[in-house]
Amino acid sequence: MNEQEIIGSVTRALHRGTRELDAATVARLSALRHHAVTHADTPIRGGSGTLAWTQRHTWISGLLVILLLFAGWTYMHKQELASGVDTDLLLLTGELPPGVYADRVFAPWLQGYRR
Amino acid sequence: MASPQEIDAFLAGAERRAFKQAVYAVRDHHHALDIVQNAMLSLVERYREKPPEQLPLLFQRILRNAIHDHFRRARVRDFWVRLVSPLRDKDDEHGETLESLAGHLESPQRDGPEQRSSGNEELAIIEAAISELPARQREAFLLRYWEELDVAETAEAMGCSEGSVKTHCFRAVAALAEKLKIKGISP
Repeated sequence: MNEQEIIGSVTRALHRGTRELDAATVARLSALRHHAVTHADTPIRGGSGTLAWTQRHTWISGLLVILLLFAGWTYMHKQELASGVDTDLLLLTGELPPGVYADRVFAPWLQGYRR
Repeated sequence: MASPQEIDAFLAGAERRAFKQAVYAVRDHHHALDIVQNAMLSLVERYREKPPEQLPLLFQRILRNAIHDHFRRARVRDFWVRLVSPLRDKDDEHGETLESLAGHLESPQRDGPEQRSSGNEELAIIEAAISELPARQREAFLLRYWEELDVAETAEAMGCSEGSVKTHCFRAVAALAEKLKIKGISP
């Protein structure tokens, strides 16, 4: 069997395979083609929904993510400041629970905190 | 610029072969239809400004990329499924991808209905032999001899050199000859 005979034999069989596709698949392919050609002007990619919207509006989505991150960072920073103020108040008024003074790590922490 | 009628006529002539190419690659009827759909949409959305004579090569490149995207997505999905699945079996943790799993789907009952209905043993053997070829050899063989692209066009569609195309084609033909000989099929 030489090379050309093999190529001819295989391609003839493959062509026959495409001709013998079942009717349902042929109809489905035809419907897909019709959809693709007739909806060329409609943005189909991604479908509908939030994910599809973000895919179509990459810049706005990116900006929203950055704003969300900034808002999160600001919130965390404010919480940290408020926590510091609370600690100062507790230390100054001596309202810490007695068990705190028995904690071995409290004294070194207090030294560092005063600095 | 290709008119909608020209694009429709081109796709009507190419869609069955495109579907078969996708089936040979992914070995799944439904995934193959999805791939062809994506390729058709990409061609119409992005390349309808191109002249009609460029459509065959463009469509082949798009189809090839769509098949590769399918495997890429499958690998990512497979990775996350394995990572989060509490039911995963230790025996499965050897990096088996969906692409490799596709290689195990060779039994006739798992093939698409187009193969079951053909009832042609010789055709089934030849199609199985095509599916079993390494991906690059299969791509080169189908583009060069089935789609009848020349060597330069095949190289462009595959993103490789003309020398590589010739090598892949030569190896594909040799592998097919061997497989068909074992199965007792002569031209």
